Amino acid sequence: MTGVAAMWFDIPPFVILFVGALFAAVTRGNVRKAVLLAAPIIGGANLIGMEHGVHMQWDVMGYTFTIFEVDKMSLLFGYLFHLAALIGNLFALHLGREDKATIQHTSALLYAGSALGAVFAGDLVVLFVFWELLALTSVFLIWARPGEKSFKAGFRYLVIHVLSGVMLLSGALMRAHETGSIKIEQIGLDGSLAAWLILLAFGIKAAFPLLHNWLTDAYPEGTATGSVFLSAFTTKVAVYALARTFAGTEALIYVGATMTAFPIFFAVIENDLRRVLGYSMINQIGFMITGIGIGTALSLNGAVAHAFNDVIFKGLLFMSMGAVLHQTGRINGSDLGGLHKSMPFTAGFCMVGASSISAFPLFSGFVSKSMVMAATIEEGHTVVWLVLLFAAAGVFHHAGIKIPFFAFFGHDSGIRTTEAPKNMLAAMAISAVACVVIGTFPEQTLYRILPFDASYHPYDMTHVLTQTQLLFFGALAFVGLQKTKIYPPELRSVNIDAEWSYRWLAPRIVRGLGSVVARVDTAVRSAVVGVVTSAMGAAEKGHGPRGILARNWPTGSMVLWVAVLLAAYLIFYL
Amino acid sequence: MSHEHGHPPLKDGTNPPAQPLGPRAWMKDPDEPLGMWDKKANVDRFVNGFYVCLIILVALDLVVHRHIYHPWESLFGFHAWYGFAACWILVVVAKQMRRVLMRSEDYYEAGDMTGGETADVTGSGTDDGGSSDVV
Repeated sequence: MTGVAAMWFDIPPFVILFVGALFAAVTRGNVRKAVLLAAPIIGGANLIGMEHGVHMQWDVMGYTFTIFEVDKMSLLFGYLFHLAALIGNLFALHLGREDKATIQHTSALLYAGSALGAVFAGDLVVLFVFWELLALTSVFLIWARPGEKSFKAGFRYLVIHVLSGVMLLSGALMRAHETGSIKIEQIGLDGSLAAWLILLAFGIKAAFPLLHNWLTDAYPEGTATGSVFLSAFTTKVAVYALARTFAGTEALIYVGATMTAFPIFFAVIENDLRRVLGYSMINQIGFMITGIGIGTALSLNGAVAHAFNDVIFKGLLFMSMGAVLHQTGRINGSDLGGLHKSMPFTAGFCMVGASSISAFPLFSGFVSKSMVMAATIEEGHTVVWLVLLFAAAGVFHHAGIKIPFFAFFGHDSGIRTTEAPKNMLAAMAISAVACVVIGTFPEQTLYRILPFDASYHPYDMTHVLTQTQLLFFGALAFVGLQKTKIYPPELRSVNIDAEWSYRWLAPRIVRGLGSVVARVDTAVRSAVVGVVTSAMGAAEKGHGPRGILARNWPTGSMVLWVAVLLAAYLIFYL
Repeated sequence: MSHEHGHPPLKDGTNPPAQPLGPRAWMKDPDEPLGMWDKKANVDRFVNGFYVCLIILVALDLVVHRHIYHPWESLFGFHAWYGFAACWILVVVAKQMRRVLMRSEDYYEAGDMTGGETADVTGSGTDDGGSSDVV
C-alpha cells in the first residue's frame, strides 16, 4: 500500500505546531497571540496518554519510513519541547512589526515543530529531514536581527548545520546498504564509516570540541527572543539522538568531560554575556554527553534529565539576558552593571536560573547533574569525576556568579531603564517556578517521566553538604579574586577559538593560494607566449602560422582562474 | 558590590560605550539617591554573613558522617578546598589565556574588509580608559 498508515486520532506532534505556524503567519494582533499560546498547549495535550509504539509509517516505492514513533524517551523530550515552545512564545509575544514579528513567530513555531519531528522520528531518513529543517527554520531567528554581523553569523550557522545533515544522510544511506536498516537504534562505534559519519553529524549539532563554534558564534547574534528558542532545541535534539544511538560509547565519556571543562575558561574572559551563556551551554551538554558515554541506566537518566532541566534554566538565563538586551540595547559585561535597580524582577529570575545551572540544592540542576556525577564515580572513572567536579565548581563561577553580577550588580553602569514587558516577566516566572519545583520535588515531577529504571535519591546529607561546600567556597574564590583585583576586568574584545581556522585562517590561505596561482599563471603564460612566439617565428619559416595553440593556453588558464576566484569568494563570504 | 574592582566607569562623552543605548534606556540622574547595594556597610554585612556560612559549612564536616566515594574525599573539607582551588585556578589560567587569545572587537570583520594585519593583539585599543591591568 502506498500512503500513510495511521490511526485516525494520531496526529504527529510536529503537524500541530506546523499548522500553528501557518496560522501565525496569516493572523495579526490578539488572534496571533492566541495561536502562539494555543499551539504548544494543544500539542502538549495531544501527547498525554499517548501509547508507546509506531503510530505512523509511510510506504513509498517499497520503502517504509517511520514518521511517528513513541516511547518513554521521546515522550519526555516531546513534553519538554512543547513546554519550551510555550515559554518561548510567551516571551516573544510582544514582538511588533519593527522586530519582524511575523518572521520570528512563524519560524519559531516551525523550529519547535521540527525538533518534535526529530524526536518522534522512527528512522534515520525521517530524522535527517527534520535535522535539516531545524537549521532552515531557526536561521531566521538570527537573520531577524538587523545588521551584517547577524546575517553572516546566520549564514555560517546554516552552512555548518546543512553540512551536518549531509553527513547524517550519507551515514544513514551507507548504514542502510551495510545492515539493511535505517531504524534509529543502538549504533555504537563499530568501526564502520557509516557509524563515524552519523556520530560526527550528531557531534556537530551537540557542539563537540572543535565543532562547537557555530553555537558561540550564532547564539549571541540571534534576536533577544530568538536566542531563547535557539538555546532550547538544536543541541537537545542532538543529545537525544546520541542517547538513542551511541549510549555506552566510551569515547563519549572523554568527549563529554572535555566539553565540561574547556568552555568555562572562555566563559570567564568573554565579554558578551549571551556568548558566556553559549560557552556555559557547551559545558552543560558535556555532562549529558558524559552520561551517554557511561551508558548505565542511572547515567542515561541523568543525561536526559539534565537535558530537560538545561532547556528550562538555560532558557531562563537567555531570557533574562534577552530582557536586558531588549531594555537597554546592550549585552556586553563591560557596558552593563547595576541593573537590579531598574529590573529587580528580571534580576531575581536570573538568579534563580543561575542557582539552577550551578546545581544548588533545591534547584533543578542539583537533581540531574548529580546523577551523571554519581554514575561516573560508580563506574570507576575517577579522573573524569574530578574533571566534572572542577567543571561543576567552574560553572557556578562563570554562569552562576558572573552573569547576574556583571549585568545586575557589580559596577553601576549608570544605565536606567524600566522592567521588561509583562509577557517576558511571565515567561521567566514560569521557568523560575519550574526550576524550583523540579529541584525541590524531583520524585513527584521529573523523575516520574525518566525513561530508564534506576532509583536515585539526590537529597542525602552527604550530597547536600558537599555540593554546598563546593559552591560556597567557589564563591569565596570569586570574592577573594575581586578583593585582590586579580579578577580579570570585562574588556571589549573577542577571544579567538577553533572558529579562527575557518573565519581567519582559511580565507587567508585561499587568498594566498590565489596570489600564488596568479603569479604562477602569469609566469606560465608569459613563458608559453615566449616559447610559442619563438616557435611561431621558427615555424612560420617552414610550416606557416600555428598560433591558435598559443591562444588556447591563456583561455584554459582563465577558466582555472575563475574557479579559484569563485572558491575564494565563497570562503570570504562565509 | 565593590565598585573599585570591576571595569573602570564609563565617562560620558570621553569614553562612549561600544553598544548604543536602546530607546528604552537612559543614563541615571546624577542626583539619584544611593541604593541599598551602593552602601559599603550593606555589602560588608552581606559578605560577613557569607563568611559565617562558610565557617558553618566546614564545621559541619566534623559533625556529618559523609559517604566516601573517592579516597580524596576522606580529607577534611575536601569539597570546600577543591571548589575554592578550582575557581581560583580557573580564573588565573583564563586570565593568562587572554595573552594569546584576545583580539580587538572587530577582529573578524576587519579581516573581511581589508585583509591586512588588523589584529590589535593586546586589546589595549579597546578604549577602556584605565583598564591597563589587562593581563
